[in-house]
Parts: sequence; structure tokens; C-alpha cells
Amino acid sequence: MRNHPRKEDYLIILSYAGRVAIGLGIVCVAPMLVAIAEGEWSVLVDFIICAGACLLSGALLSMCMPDDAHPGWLHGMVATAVSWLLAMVLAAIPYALSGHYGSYLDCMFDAMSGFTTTGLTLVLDLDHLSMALNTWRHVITFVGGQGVVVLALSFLIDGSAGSYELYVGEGKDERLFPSVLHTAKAIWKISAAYFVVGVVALWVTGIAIGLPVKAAFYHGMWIYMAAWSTGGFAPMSQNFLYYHSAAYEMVSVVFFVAGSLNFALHHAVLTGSRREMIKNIETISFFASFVILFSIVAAGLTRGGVYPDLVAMMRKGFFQVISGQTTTGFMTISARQFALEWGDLALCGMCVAMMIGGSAGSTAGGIKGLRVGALLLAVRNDGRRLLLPPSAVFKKKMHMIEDRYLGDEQVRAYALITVLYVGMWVFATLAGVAAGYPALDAAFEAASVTGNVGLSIGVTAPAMPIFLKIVYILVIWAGRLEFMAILALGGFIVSAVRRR
Amino acid sequence: MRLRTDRRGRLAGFGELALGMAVEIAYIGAFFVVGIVVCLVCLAFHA
Repeated sequence: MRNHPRKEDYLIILSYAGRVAIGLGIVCVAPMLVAIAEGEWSVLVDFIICAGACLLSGALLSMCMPDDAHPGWLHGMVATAVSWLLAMVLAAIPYALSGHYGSYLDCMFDAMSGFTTTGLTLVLDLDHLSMALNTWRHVITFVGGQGVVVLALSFLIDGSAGSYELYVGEGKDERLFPSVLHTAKAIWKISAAYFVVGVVALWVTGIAIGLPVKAAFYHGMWIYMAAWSTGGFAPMSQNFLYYHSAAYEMVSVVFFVAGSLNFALHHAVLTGSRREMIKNIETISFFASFVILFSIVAAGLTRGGVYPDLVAMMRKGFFQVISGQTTTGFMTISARQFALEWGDLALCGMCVAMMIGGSAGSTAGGIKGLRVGALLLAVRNDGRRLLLPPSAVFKKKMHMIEDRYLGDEQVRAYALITVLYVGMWVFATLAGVAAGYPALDAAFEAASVTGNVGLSIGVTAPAMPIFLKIVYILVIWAGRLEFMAILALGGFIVSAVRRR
Repeated sequence: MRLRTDRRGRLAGFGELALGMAVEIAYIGAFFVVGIVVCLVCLAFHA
């Protein structure tokens, strides 16, 4: 691409975004099937309209691709950022037609929250949502967790020029195979394998805790999709409190922690490299940071006498911390209990846990365990450099699937993304404070949106100011794409405006 | 023990898959163990 975008550049970007829209149209089949099975005919019409809009706009945009196109790095990055915005607008159609939202902005908020696996919601009367619409909420979370672009790569884009850039733009830079197309398909295979195990496990648990067989199946499927994609949506307004079951909570923990692990790690472990589980920098970093942060939260909770026994501490404290650090966002307490009961120390620990997040190349958000682990290794290396004689030589490496050189360039890249995450969190906190919320509440909610978590202290609600809804949409979008695609889009817009 | 793996790196047979999942679940189980230990220590100090 040249310094100033030409018509060809716009067409390439729109063409890629069109294929993502077609992919979304095909995904509409899932809630349609549920609507047919449950006899929800008016909801079926809503999804036919949505699918029609997706397929029509997608087909028109896909035809834009010039014959002699040469997609490059910037095309892929900008197309990813644009695709997510387009997906948000289109996926909001069934929400708007359902009548369960106050405005189209609220619908887009929920759609972006779903795609980014955040899990915050502005829906009204969630408990009476149709089965098909509930399925839609969870399906777009599941698709978003794997990656909207990964979906298109798997089925609609031939893996040729530009596909790797699309893949990286979505915040995934690990390839399981030399071919990004095979990588995208492998991600879906891993998710499908866990899908079968997860839905059956939650279905059986649901029946065991007293849910009717059909309801247990739907709840199992929805909760699994939200858990694996570290999404945090739940079918009932009480979130996980609805189930009142330690067994259901603990089974879900297994699947959302699994979802927060790197797809490359899953692939390695599931194909025989099982020792990777204890050697990988991300699993070590995740485990160590969890131990430290849960200790801080537990100290804060016990100091305040919030939960007096082991069972309550595990079901409330442990569950919230692991849900927060994996960026899932399932809650076994009400939002205001965070503000009114937990105390400052526990909330600060939660904020850090939500900011760190899960693994790179997973469904999780946040800074990521890889970056935190690598930066700590870099600090250790610099410390050793100061203490050892200048002539001393030591290895600067880390292990992630294979031993990798941890050079200054790598550390700089990790530090840059970390600084951007922290800057985004400060920005979102200031926006919350400007909207009139207490500083700690604003900081907690900001950590939740920046890390795509979904835990809420009560700020996110249909009545919150419009500008804060827009800020949160932008923050969760930027956080999910890990900034690079957003920066590329910003640069593209600036260069287009300058031309004029 | 090392079960057969696909030379092209694809997800291998069911046994391999199940064993891999078991290892991942064991790792996740460690979080529960450490959670219980931390809770007990904190509650003991508070008492």
C-alpha cells in the first residue's frame, strides 16, 4: 500500500470484511434451528432478516476485490478492524428486533461485548429472552472467542495473500502449522473436541442439580460456549447465582480455564507433548500470578470477615478471581456486593488479575500471561547483567512450545502492548469518573472492559451515559484486537484524510 | 509412555486426545488445590 490509500486499497479491505459478513450470515443458522425447534416463529423471522442482511452485504462487498489485487500487511490489519465493526453492526440486528434493548447502541454494545468475549450486557429482562436469541448471544461469543476472522479463514478465505495479516490483526500471532489456513482449522478442531466434552459434562451436571433435561441441555450448551470462549454471558440475569450449585460452578471452571490456555499449547498437549503443560512460560506465569493475586484477594476478604468458611471462600472468592483472571466474567455474587462487601484490597487484587488476563493466542483477553512472564524474565536478565561481570554470558531465552530467544526487540514489543493496555485502562477509568462514578468503581469496571472480562461492579447498565457506552465499546474492541489493527486503521484514516 | 502421533502434527487418535485433556484437567485441578490451601491459611490467620 502506498502512503495515500487508493481505490484499490479500499476495495481489498471491503472485500475481506464482506467475507466475514458472509461467515456471520452462515452462523445465523444456529439460532434459526433453535427457533424452529422451539416454535419461536417471530424470532425466526428476525434471524432471517439478519442472515439476509449479512449475506447480501457480504456478497456485495466480496465482489469488490480487484482482479489484480496484492493484499499486504496493512490491508489485513485494517480489514480485521473494519470486519469487527461490521460484525458488530450486523449482529445487533436480532437484538434490535427483539425489543429487549433500549436503543441500537445498546444492541451494538452487547454484540461487541459478545464478539470480544467480554460478557457485559445492557439487555432488559434477560430472564424472558427467547431461546433462539439466547443461543445467538452465546454463539457470537463462541465465534468471537475463536476469532471472527479465524471463522472466515477456515471456511471462506483460501489462505492466500493477506490471510496471515488478517489472523495477526485479530491478536493471534501463534501459528500451529506453517499454513495459517491449517492453523485456523486446527483451532476449530480443538474447540470442537472440547465442545463435545464440555456440553455433555454441563448437561449431566445440570440434570443432577435439578434442571429439566431439555433446559439442562440448553443451559449446558450456552454456559459451555460462554466458558470456553471466556465470555461470561449467562442465560439468566443472576448469572451463576441462578444455579446455586458448587458442582456446576466447579465444572465450568475447568472449561473456562481450558479456554484461557493458548491454542498452540492445547495443540501441543493434545498431540503428545504433555510435559509442555509444566514447562510453558504461560502456564507457569498464569499459575504463579494466580497464587499471588488470589492470596491478596483472600487476605482482603478474610480481613473484612466477608466469607467466614472455606466453602464460601472457594465459591465466592476463588470463583471470582479465577473467573476474572481468565477474563471469563461469570459471577457468583451480585455486582454491588463487590462495591459494598469486598473492600479495597480485594478489589485492587481483582483489578490486577483482570488486567493480566489469560494466555496469548487463546480466547482470553488482558495483557496476557506470556507478556507478563517475558517481561519478568527480562527484568531478571537485566538484574543478572548488573550483578555479573561485563564479560559474563548468559542465555536470554524462554520456553513456549519451543525454546525462544528473548531479545531486546521482543521485550520492547511486549512492553509496548503492556503500556497500551495500562494506558487504555487509565483512559476508561477517567471516562468512568467523568461520568460520575466513584474512582474505585470506575477503575474496576475499566479493568473489566480493558481485559474483556465481564465482571461488573454495577457501572455497566442500560442507564449509564451514552458517551460511556461508546468509550467501553471502543475499549473492548481495541483490547480484543490488541491494538495493532486499531493503530493500523487509525493510520489508514489519517493518511486518507491528509490526501484530501 | 508415548502414544502414536500424526507425523503432520494433526490431532491424533482418541487415546492421545483423552490423555492430553486429562493432563490439562490435572493442571486446572492444581488451581483448586492451591485455592483451598490459600483459603485455609487466610482463615487460620484471621481466626
